[in-house]
This record gives sequence, C-alpha cells and structure tokens, in this order.
Amino acid sequence: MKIVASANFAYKITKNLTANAIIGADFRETQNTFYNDPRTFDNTTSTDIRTRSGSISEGLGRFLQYNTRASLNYNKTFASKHELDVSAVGEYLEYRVKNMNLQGFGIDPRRPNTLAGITPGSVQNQLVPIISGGRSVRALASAMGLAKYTFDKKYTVNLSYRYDGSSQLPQQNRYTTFYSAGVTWDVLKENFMRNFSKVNTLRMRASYGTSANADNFPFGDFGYLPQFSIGADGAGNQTLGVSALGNPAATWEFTKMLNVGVDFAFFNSRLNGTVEFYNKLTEQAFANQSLSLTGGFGAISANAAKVRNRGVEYSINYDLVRNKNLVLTLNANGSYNHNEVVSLGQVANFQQGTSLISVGLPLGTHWEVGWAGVDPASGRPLYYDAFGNVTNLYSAANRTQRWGTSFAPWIGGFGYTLRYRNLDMQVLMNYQDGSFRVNNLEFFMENPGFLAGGLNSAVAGRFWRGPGDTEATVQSPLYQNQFSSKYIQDASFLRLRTVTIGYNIPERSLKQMKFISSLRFYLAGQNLATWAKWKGYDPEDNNNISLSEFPNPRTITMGVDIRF
Amino acid sequence: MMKSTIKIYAFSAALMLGAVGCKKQLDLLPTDTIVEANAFQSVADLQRGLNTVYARYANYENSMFLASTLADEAKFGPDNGGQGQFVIRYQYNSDPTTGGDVIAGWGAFYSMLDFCNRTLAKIDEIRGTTAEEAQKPAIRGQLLALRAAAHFELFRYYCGNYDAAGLGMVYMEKPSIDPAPRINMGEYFTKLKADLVAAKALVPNNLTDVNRVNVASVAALQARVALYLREWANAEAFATEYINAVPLATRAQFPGIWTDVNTAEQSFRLVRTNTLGGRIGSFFRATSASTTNIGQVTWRPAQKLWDTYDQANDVRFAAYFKDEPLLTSAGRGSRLVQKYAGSAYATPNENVANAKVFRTAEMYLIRAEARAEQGRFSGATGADADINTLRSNRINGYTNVTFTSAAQAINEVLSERYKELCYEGHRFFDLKRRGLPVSRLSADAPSSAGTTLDANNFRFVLPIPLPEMVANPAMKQNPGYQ
Repeated sequence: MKIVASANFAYKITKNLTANAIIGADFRETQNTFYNDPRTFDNTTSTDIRTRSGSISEGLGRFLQYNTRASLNYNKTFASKHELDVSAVGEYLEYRVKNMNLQGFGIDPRRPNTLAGITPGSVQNQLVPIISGGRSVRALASAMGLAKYTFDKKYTVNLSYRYDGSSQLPQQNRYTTFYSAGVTWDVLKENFMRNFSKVNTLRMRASYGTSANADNFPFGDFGYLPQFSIGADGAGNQTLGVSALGNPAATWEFTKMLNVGVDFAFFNSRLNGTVEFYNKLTEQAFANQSLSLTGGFGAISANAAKVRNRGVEYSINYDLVRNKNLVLTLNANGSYNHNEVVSLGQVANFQQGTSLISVGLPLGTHWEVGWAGVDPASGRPLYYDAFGNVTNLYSAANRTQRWGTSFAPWIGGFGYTLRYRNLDMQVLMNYQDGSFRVNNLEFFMENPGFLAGGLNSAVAGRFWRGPGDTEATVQSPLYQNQFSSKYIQDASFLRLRTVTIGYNIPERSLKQMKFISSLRFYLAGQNLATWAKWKGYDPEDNNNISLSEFPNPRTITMGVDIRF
Repeated sequence: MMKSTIKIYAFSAALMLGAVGCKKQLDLLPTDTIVEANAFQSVADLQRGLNTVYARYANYENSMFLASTLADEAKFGPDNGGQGQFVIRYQYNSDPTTGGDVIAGWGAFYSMLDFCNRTLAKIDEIRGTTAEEAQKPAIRGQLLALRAAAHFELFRYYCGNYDAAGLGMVYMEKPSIDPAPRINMGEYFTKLKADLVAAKALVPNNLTDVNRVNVASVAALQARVALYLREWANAEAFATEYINAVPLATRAQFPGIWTDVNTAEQSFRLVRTNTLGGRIGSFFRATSASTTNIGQVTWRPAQKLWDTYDQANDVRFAAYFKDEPLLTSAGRGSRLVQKYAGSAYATPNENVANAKVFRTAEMYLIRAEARAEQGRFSGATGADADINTLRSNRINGYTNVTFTSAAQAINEVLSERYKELCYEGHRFFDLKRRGLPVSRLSADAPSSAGTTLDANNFRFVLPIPLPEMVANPAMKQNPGYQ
C-alpha cells in the first residue's frame, strides 16, 4: 500500500514577493505472508518439530517520510536589463520505519493460510511463536539561500548558500554549510557575434561550489554510536560488551567541484555538442580506515580520505548529410577521468579487504603478489617478492601495487544514425580502456583443490607435467594455488553495443487504416561483438574481482511498434 | 480576506516546522539498539561487562599452543594438514598468511583490554543499593587483574627479555582508538604492577570461586611477573604467599585435576564448555566420529618430552599422555596428548577441559628458581627442598636429592618445568627468558632446518602484525621482521 499526499500553499505578498509552503507525506506499508503447510513431503519428513507442524508468518513494514518546505521568493526585472531572483528556503525531512514479524507453528490443516490456524505455543509442545520487530528514524533539516542575477540576458550569476543538519551524525558535527557560485555567458547575445551567422549556439559556463550527499553515510540511522550487546558466555553467565565501534567523530563528507564548459552549435546546428572540464575534490570522504588494534577494533569508517577526480567529458554530433530523404548523423561521446587518492589523513595506506588504498594511486588499485611462472624443474609456483626477486615462497607481505586499477579512466562510445526515407539504422559502439580486473573464475579453474570436482580440459593441459616442462602455466597440483598478479587481466574492450534497423510504414499508407497512427517494424541487436584481451565472461562490470556474475547478454529483438 | 489568513497561517506553521523546529528534531536517539548512553545502568550490568572480559580471555589457549609448538613439546601428528607449519618451522613473518598463528594474540588481547577498560570506565557512574555497591570493589579488582594479565601475555609474545629501557608494549588504561607508540618496559611494568597491587586489595581473599580472580591468583601473577623480571626476592615472596594459601595436589589428587573432577592446587581457571572458549584438546586431536574412529591427530607429544618421564612411577605421565592401540592398528602412530582430552571419544564433551591458569606446582618451581638465583640452591629454604616437595607429590617412591650448585638447581628446575607444565603455555617463554636455544630431537623436528632455534634468535620475539604496522605509524616493528 502506498499513499502520497502533498499540499502546496502559495501566497503572493506583493507583486514580486511570493511565499510558498509545501507539506508532503509518503506512506508505504508492505505486508508479507509466508505459509508452510504441514502436509508437504519435506515437512512430514522433517526432524524439526516446528517445521513438521507447519508454520505461518506475517510481516508488516511501515515507512513514513514527511517533509515540510517553506520558501520566500523575490523576483523582479529592473530597467528591463537586470533580472533578479532571490529565494530563502527552509526544509525538514523525516523518515520513519517500523516493522514487525510473527511466526506461529502447529498449523491446523483445516484452517490453512491464516494465523487462526496456529497452535498456542508452550515449552512442552515447543511451538512457541516467534515475534520480532523494530523501528528507526532519521531526519534532515536545511536552510538555503539562492540568488540569480542576469544582465541583459547575456551574463548570469548564480549564488547559493546552504545550512544542513542530519540526525545521522554525532551532535557536535551535525550541522554544516555549503555554498556555490556560477557564471554563464551567452556569447551569441554579444553585438560582435552578429556577423557570425554560422554560429547557432555558444554558451560558456563556469561554476565552483561545495556540496554533500546526505544519503551517503556509511552506517545506518544511528551507526555512529558505539553499540553494545547482551549475550551469554556459554557457562551460564550473561555478558554485556561493545559489539560495534561506530564512529563518534563522524562528520560530513563533501565535495569541492570546479566546472568549466561550453555548449556549441554551428552550421545550422549540423555540428553541435558540449565539452566540459571538471575538477572534483572529495574531502573527509568515508573510507574504511584500518585502526591500530590496540584500541580493540581493526577498522572504522572514518572521514579520512581526500580523493580527486579530474577529467574531461564531451559529446559531439555531426549531420554529415541532411536532406529531405537522407539524414546521416555521426556521434561520439566520451570521458577521461583521472582518479587519485590525495590524502589519507594520518597514514599513507589503508588496508581494505584484500586491497590497499594508497596516497598517490587511484582507487581500485590492485594489491597482489607478483606471479613469476612455474619452476620447470619442480613444478613449484614462483612469485616475486617485494623487491622483485623470484621466490618460491608465497607471502602476502610481498604484495605490490604494480597491477593497475579496476576503474577505467577512458570510457566512451561512438556511432551513427542513418535515415533514408522510411528506413532507419542506428549503430553504437562503446569502449573502456585502462581497466584491470581479477579473473577469479580462472583462479578457481586452476585450483588443484577443485580437481576432484571436475576438470576444465583447457586448463588441464596447462598444469605442470614433469621435470623440464617449460610450457606449463599452472603449477603442479601438489602446490596450493594462491591469488597473484597472474589473475589480473586487462579489462579494456571495444564492443558493438547496439545495431537497430527499422522501417516506418509511410503515413499515407496508414491513412486507410483509421485506428493506427504509426506502424514500425524493427530488428535490434545488442552486444553483438566484443573485442578484448580479457579471458573471463565479460570485461564490463564495475567491480574489481570478477566472479560468476551474469555477463551482458547478446540479444536480438525483432518487433512491431503500433500506435493507435 | 479569510482565505489569505488561512494561507498565512499554513505558511507560518510550515516555516516553523521547516526551519525553526529543526534543531530539536535532529537530536534523535535509537530505540532498538543498546548504546553507550544506556548500556550500563546497574551493578548487574557491570558484572555482565566483567563476564564478557572473562569470556574474551579465550586467547590464553593460544599462549598454551604457541609455547608448545614453538618449543620442543609437540611434533606434527600423522594427520596434520599444515596446521602450525610456519610456527614449528620458524617461517613466520608479520603477515597473516605466514604469521597468522603468532600475530593472533595481538588483536585478541587488545580487544579483551578494550572490553575491560570500557567496563572500568563505567564503575564510578553507576549507583546501586548498599548491597550492590559492596560488589563494586571486587568487580574493579578483577578487571584490573585481568588488565594486567592481558598486558603480561602481550609482553611475553612481542617484547624481548626484560630490560627497563627496552621497548615494551602499548599499555591500555582507557578505551581509545588513537594510534599509540610502544612505551619502554620499565614504565610498562610500573603500570602493570600498580594494577596488580590495586587489584589485590579489592578481589575476594578466598577460593570459593576459582572461575574468578582472587587474592591467590593475583599473587601468582605477581610471582610470574617477578620471575620474568628477574626480581628473585619478590618472586620467592609471592610464590610463598600462594603456596601458603593453596596446598599442592597430592599424587592421588593429581589425575583429577586434568579430568576436572577436582580443583586441587588451582586458584584460577578459565571455564571451558563445548560452547565457551572451544575445546582445548581439539588443538592436538580433532573430535572423533565414533568410539573407534578417532579424530585427526594434528599434534602429538614430542619424543624428547615423552622420554623425560619415569613412566612407571610418575603420575604425570598417565595424566598427560596416552598410548592408543586403536591408532596403531590404523597406522596412525599411537601417542596422544591426553592432558585436555575431556570426556570419552565421540561424546559431547570430548576435548573439553578447563584452562588451568595458576597451579601451586608452578609456584614451587618459581620459588625454587628464585632461591637458586639468590644462592640458596640447597637446604631447608633452598631450591632442592621445593623440587623434592613437588616430585614427591608426583612420583611414587621418590628419593630426595640435594643440589650442589645454583647452576645445577636451575637446570633441574627447567627440566621439571618442562615435565610439570608442558602444554600450559610456558616452555618457549622459559627458554626465551633464560637465553636458551630450542633444541629438538631430529625425530621431533619438522625438517632438518627446524631442529634448532639458536639462543636469543630474533624469532624468540614474535612479529608485530602487519595490519598494525600499516595502521599505526607510531608502532615499531621488532628486529628481524622489517
């Protein structure tokens, strides 16, 4: 069940001053029932009394979000050249969740699928129902000031100021301020541009500002508080101890972003596009920081990282041919992003799971022991130690970061669209370059521990066979398989993403059929071809280790699109 | 007019909700979780906090295993699948792959210390009834004693032999996640001894509950600390205090200590059930599938240790070891460590045994060593008197000996410690503090390279974990592991 309600009040105080108030609520209720009939075969044969007797569970979840927003807006144009738009806004958002669940046992088969059918529980019949539930709340409050000034429709200045507070942070860090400033210059409105008739759009933009993501806290509503739990020690004593460290010093992570861009269109807009440069610095970013174990905990989600993303994005379209019967448009878009960890606070490295985040390197940088091949004499696996010497002893202490990052710096696509009379065709290629990922499936296939469970014949031929085998790429099955740089593969690719061919029945033919306004036949293919060095299923994914994820499927669709 | 009044009213209400009222609205507290503000509310909660610290003392067993496999008490069993291979071969480093077994104590003891300090910090905030208030000193005393005990274990693992100016550990006196440097051992032990003195004045002075720390067990730890610090007069005094409080088990009582039918000569033990702290005996031999299908034997007694006993007359031999014919017939050797075997094969409490932390036998051995070191190797208050008392309570038909030199007395004490205290967490640390090598029989060594660990080799001091070195720029690694 879902109810969304909102009320909007607007009051024009003077001609230029308007007051606005919005009150909104979003209520959702979810119910689920799970019924397990005692007469099913699995249940009748179960040794567990509660399974054997059947069960029914009913769950109820409620979510309520409400917000109030009040604003004052002043809007006026002076001397027909100066446009001013100023607002002050106050906003409050609250989210509440509540859920309960109960499960009863001992179903009377005459009354299935209802809570009325359960047997009252007792210690003797072991059918005591299970009741659980909980609730939580969080809130966000903001005050904002916004100003926009435009001079003669040529120059626009935007200013903003925000004061935000979140209940998800400790009291001393609950509130913070953000600001931004931006200018836009519509060059085409300048007198000196009158003679450039081939230019259709030319707009330059620059902005700088700070912002934060209030939905980005790494812990739940109250996760910043250390949490305790009551338990038992196994010898009949109750225990009470800290179970989660929280982070009582957690604060806002925010980004400082500089954007410079240009929108353009030339030659009757046959050539149009956008180019944008950005420099984004995320400060006090949450990172799972390893802690000195002397404090009893190994890691904390701390505001310790400073990460920079700097790059260029572009998108360009060009109509190579444009006449009544034939339109051929070439298009390309892409981006280059340079990601770098600028600072990690007190330390130079964070250990995060199996990876190491280091200052000066991009996020997603692999941290593995270097693979040096198979010893032809003994079949032992060989590794590089931290100094680049070959050793036959595997040690995680020898992990290095020379194996690239999983985040591709180069991403983009290109293609064309063609229309000839009623026939059209679109082709889109896309690519990524500079990404390296771990092919975990290959690690499994080469794992001697799985030999008994079935052997991949392609891998079998690569195992070391006997002294003097210089061809082997997998060690003798006598030696354990370890994670190493061997499984880090280049995940760059070029892919034929989509090809679509369509035919629209001419309108004049449709006129005879009164009910149909358009009729289109099409044939579309997706992921038709991929060129990559990657040996796993699919190089394209946003993780650093490829497991058995479902790859992007190759699909071919044929369809008819009819509109009435 | 009426309409616009309503509008203004609604607008003002929204503005108040939206902007003015927000400060209070954001001060929310969780309803479903226990947090710092409401965790400790009564003296019973402090008691629960203390129980947690006892439960977290699980790593005491780790000391027991390390002291055995790093030294000459155990050898690979027939079914060892690589367990402890880096330890027995001295191939450990600071990383979790090769050093997992030797670095585990670091996090475990400091985690126990965090639990300890978090409860200690709450004691003064809690107010109870007069009867409840009377329980608080004992709770504080036990926490202080456990704090000292965990710090002492950290010293045994990760510090060199005592030297007031040498690098100690980080001494945790309050909950803190800030990275801290190692302090020197002089300062470290000043804090540790102060905790013990404070604890001793607060804990119960009786043996009513040997599952909990009491005055005798604090004295035992003080004796042990003095032994490692080579403070011989203190070692003798604290050991004497313990011996007077807790009599030595007789030959008749002795086997019952290991089957947990009595608590003779113990002042403190860590209760182990099949859910609390795990099955100690499973370190040596896994639980069995049936009464005839005996669990995998990962470690078995070293030949060297086995051959040390007068097998016919020494009651320790039968209590500590077993020659199992069922294994012989399966071609899996025959010798087993029986000390922590618990109930019979394939029964629920197989391999379940309590960890005996302090026993009177150890105090006699500490006192004998302290007396010899002070020049009293023989006589009524000499080392030989203590050794004779201990042996006559262990060996049938024992004839007293007389020591003729301090060196002889110390040798005898060490070999008696080897026999009496094997698998109790002492051997490796005894060799370390006495500056002796580990020398295994070739029959016990994992390979010819693992036969000896030279005296004062850097590996006697275990490595600081790599994750600690990554996280704590102030931490200093031990020599040899950089």
